[in-house]
Amino acid sequence: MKNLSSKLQNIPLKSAQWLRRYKCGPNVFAFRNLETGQVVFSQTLYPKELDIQNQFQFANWQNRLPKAERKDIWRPLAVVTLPNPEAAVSFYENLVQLRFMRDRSMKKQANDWRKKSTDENIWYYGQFRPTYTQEAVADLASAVEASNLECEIKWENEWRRGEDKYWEGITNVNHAYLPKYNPREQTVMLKKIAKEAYTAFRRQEKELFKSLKIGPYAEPAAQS
Amino acid sequence: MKPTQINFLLRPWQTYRNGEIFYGMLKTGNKRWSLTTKQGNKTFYKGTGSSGVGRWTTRGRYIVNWEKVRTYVVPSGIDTTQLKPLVCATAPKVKHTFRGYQGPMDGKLYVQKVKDFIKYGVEESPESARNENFIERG
Amino acid sequence: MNPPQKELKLRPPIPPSVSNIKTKDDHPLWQFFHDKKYMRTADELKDVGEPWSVPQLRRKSFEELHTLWYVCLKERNRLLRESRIYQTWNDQDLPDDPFVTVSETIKTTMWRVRHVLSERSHAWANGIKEVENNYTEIINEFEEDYLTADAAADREMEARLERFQFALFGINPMLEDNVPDRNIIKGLKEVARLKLTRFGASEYEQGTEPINNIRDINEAFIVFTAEHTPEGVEDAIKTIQEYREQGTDPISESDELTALAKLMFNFEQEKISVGSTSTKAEAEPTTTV
Repeated sequence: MKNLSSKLQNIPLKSAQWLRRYKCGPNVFAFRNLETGQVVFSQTLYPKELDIQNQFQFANWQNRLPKAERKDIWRPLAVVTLPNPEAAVSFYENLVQLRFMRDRSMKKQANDWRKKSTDENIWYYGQFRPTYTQEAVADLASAVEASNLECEIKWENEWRRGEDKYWEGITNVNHAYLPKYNPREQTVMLKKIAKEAYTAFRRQEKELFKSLKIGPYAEPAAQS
Repeated sequence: MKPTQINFLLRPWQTYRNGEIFYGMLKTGNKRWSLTTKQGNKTFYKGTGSSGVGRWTTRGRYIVNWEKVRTYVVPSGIDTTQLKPLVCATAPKVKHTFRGYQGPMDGKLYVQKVKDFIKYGVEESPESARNENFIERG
Repeated sequence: MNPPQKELKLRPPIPPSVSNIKTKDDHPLWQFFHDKKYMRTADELKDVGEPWSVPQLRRKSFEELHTLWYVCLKERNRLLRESRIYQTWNDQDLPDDPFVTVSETIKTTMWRVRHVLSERSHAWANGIKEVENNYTEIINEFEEDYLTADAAADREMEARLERFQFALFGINPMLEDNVPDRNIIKGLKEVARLKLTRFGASEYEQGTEPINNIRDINEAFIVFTAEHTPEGVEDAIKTIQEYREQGTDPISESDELTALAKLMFNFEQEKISVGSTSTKAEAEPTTTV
């Protein structure tokens, strides 16, 4: 957390212990706002106010502060599954840091990449600015590469992932797709995915403990 | 006889002081709008060309009468057919003649065709066959 | 526990791409595309042909016209889709939209199909009137042809008789496909009479007397189903004679419909039983050997 401002460090995240205690899968969720195209990353099944405070610290008239209450317009863009909660937390932190880089530390570079409309502002249609979703996809790619771990991204659809050339250098990623779902049952669907991820992680951890003979599988000390 | 004053002929009768009519820019034209479902008296039913395929029960359920539901009979050979919507422009132009008959809808011609069918089957009869000028009996 | 992280690096935005999406080859929506193309060019639509003419359509059966109608409909759907895109990309209603031009040409084919069908319907209605007026004349004309033909033309006459009964009385050559009605009874009697008259003149064995008239539907049916040969009709006459010797009264006109239904049912059953015995006979040698 070197580059983060002091303001950012004060905001609590869901820690790895928290994820373990409440049996949350080692996931990071990306939600897309249907109206504005903005994306918020979250450790929970729906975006929370905290996530938005975290990721929209430098909101302006082109990048307005979205509302977490509008659960009807946040749709999953992608669900990332990491091998363990520690990796999931650092993955989320990396995403927040990338957002910070875009908004503050490397603002000029990020702005140059954006498509502009005739008035030299970010291209828009009404309130919709497609560049934010595209930047979020790029951030996911960067975070995956930085994590240096095998991870799976379940995309909303084939279209969002972008062309294969953008993912060429990244070998530690496995692309998959979310099942077809009724928007009414969005959270149910995500919950199911999170539960599956949690069981898979627990199984893996158990085997690891068994092989290393630690934790509950530690050999009792020889009685003498 | 004195000509009628112009303001007596204006419709609507109220005008602004500058002579502009009170509502609308035109005197006429309101009568040519299409008749919508909102006009007419209580017996006027326009509908949308949909619905009306069943009845309501007293308990508010709708019972569909499948006799009234539109169906489209698609021919069985639609996927295998060789027929095309347009024909070759260079194909010879066939003409029909109805000599001795009133026209294609003449009952006598129909009877003649029945007789020909009995006599020749699906083959063409000598009278109806196409000649070298691409003229045949209709 | 986790390996050390790599350096975080900002990337340019990744735009979404359609190239990842694979479409099934037999997707039903492909029916809206010509040759799986997004759009045809104006050159491809230059020499597409001309609409079907009315004389060409008059030679087609109802089934073919029905199919042609749907073929046209589907093609027009394709063209209208392309036309819509064409007009969108040109930002205005162009007067010479090639897709609309072809669509209008196909529309001509479609109204001509309807024209031919209505023409046929009117001709049928007029034809019915005409047949009613000249009923005996038509039958006499056929009768003359049928009776004067010599024995060599038996085959030809059989085919003509089948077409005659189909055209005038609606009797299907496959007997089990018919639904008994008054017209069919009338036809059966007429056909039986013609058959008797044609073959009844030949000489018979001694002791049998020729039968010239049909008393009821039962006798008509026997002659109708007899083979179209002198021998066949002779057998039928023998059966009729046996039937008459039993002394039962002829079936009255009011009972004819039920009698015919029963006869047709029996005929069908007999056919099935004959078919099953023949298959059995074929199957037997394979089991014994």
